[in-house]
Amino acid sequence: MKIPVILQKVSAGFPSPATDYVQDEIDLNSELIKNPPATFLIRVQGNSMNDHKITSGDLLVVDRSLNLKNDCIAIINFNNELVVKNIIKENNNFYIKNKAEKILISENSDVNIWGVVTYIIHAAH
Amino acid sequence: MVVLSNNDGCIISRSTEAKQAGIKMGEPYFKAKPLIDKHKVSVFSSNYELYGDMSRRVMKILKNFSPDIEFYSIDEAFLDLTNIKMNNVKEYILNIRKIVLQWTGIPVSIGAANTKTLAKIANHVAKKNKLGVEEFISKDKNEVDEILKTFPVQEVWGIGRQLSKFFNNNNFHNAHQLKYADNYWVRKNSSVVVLKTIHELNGTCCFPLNFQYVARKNCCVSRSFGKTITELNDLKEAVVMHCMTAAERIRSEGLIVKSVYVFIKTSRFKKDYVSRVQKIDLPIATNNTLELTNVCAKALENIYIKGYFYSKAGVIFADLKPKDHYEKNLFSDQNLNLDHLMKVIDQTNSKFGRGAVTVAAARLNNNSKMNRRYSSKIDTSFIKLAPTVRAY
Repeated sequence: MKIPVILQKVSAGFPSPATDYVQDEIDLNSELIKNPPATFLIRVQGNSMNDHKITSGDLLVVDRSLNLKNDCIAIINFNNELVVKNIIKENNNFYIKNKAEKILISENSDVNIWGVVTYIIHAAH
Repeated sequence: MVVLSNNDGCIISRSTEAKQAGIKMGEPYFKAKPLIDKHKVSVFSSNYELYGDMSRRVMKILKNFSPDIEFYSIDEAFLDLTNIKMNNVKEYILNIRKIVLQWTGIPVSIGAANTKTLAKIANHVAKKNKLGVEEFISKDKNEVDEILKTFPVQEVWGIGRQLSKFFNNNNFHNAHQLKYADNYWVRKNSSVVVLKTIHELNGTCCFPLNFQYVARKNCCVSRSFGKTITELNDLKEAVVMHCMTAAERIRSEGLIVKSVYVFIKTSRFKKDYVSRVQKIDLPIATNNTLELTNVCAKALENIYIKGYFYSKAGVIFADLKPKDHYEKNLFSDQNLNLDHLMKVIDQTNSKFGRGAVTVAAARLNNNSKMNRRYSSKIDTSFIKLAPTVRAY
C-alpha cells in the first residue's frame, strides 16, 4: 500500500496552491517491517492483553530475529500453543509476567520464545 | 502427521511417527485411512501458499550468506561460498542454520563440500546428525571416503533408479566404489553425465551453480474435481479456468506458448477408465487468454465422450519461449493490441482476486474447486489467513 505524503500542514481554510508538492510515498511495509523474511503478521484472539493496549482482532507485527528485552511484548510458544505475553527480565532471565506467578522462558523448555511484537495494528472503529 | 496432495488425493509428506505407523509415501488417502484412524494421525491438506511464502523467506535469508545462490527447488538451494570470508566452514554453516531456524522456525540441513554432488551427500549425512550440518571441506580424504562407503549408490545425486540397477548389477553398491570406478569403463557403458558425477565425487566441479533464472519449458494446470463431472459444459468451465490460470502464469513470466494440450480423465481407481488428450499447435505463439481459451474449448469438444464420469481435467502449455522471441508476421500487430487488455485483466485479478475478470465460459463453479478439507487455514502471506495467537 502506498500513501502519498503531502508536505503541507492540513489547514481548515483556504486550500494552499502548494498541494502539488508531493515528495514521496509512505510505504508502511518498510516503516513497520525492518526484517521482512523474519516478520510475521499474527491475529490476536482474546482480551487478556487489554492492559497493554492489545485487543481481540488486532494484528501484531512480530519479528523473530529480535531478542527479548525487559518489559517487551512477545509471542511465546507455551506448550505448543502461541500466546501473547508481557515479558520481564530479572537476574538475566526472562519471565512471563502474570498476576500471580512468574513463568521462566527457556530455549530448551516447553515455554520458549516465538517472536517479539514490534507493532500493534488496531482498527479505530 | 501426514500432508495430502492437491485435492486431498495422496499422501505426500509424513512425519517420523507417521512413517513408523507404516503409512506409505504416495499412497492414496482413502487407502491409508484405516492406519491413519488407528494411530490417530493428524491429517493436513497441502497449503502451497504457505510453503511458497516460507520458501521465499528461507531463500531470502540464505542470500544474505552468499549472493551467489542457485534456487534449486522450493526446498533446496546451492550457495557458492568460494568468495565468502570465513574462519571456519562448520561455524559458518551452523550459523546459517541457526539464523534460518530462529527467523522462520524451519529446521534446515546443510551440507558443505567442494562439489554439488558431494554437498548433497554431506546434506544427507547432516539430516541424520544432531547438529543438522556436515562439511567435507576440512575433512581429509580418508575420512570422506569412509563416509562414502556407507552411502548407497542409488542415493547419489543424478543416479536414478535405472542407473543404480545397472551399477548394482556390476557390483557397485556405495558411493566410494563409484568414486573409484574406471573412467574408461564408465564412459563406454554409461553416459557422460555419470562420468561427471564421478569427477564430482572426486572433488572436481563439473556441475557449476546455475545462478540464472531458468525459464520454464512448460506449464501445467490441472485439478481433480470435488465431484465427478459428466456434462461437456461443466468440463468446459474447468478447462477454460485452468487455461486462464496458465495464461496468467506464463504472462507473469514473460513467456508465450506454441503448443497446447488439453486432457480429461476418469478415476484410475474405478472401472471404465478413460484418459483423453489433444495437442494443438498454434500458428503463432501467444499468451493471449481469449485466443487460448477458444483453442482449449475446441480441443475439449473433440476429446469429450458422453457418458463418462470425469474426475480430472487440465491444460498443459508446452514449448514456451520468451516473449521477445516474438515472431513478427502478418497478424502480430493485431495481437500486440491485446497485450494491453491482458495486462489490465491481470492487474484487476491480482487486486480483486482471481476470477474477478474472466471469460464468459468460466463461470466459477464449485464442482471443480479444489477439495481442501483438512486445511490448516494459515497463510503467512495473506492477511485474512494470518495465524492467530491466544490472549485469554
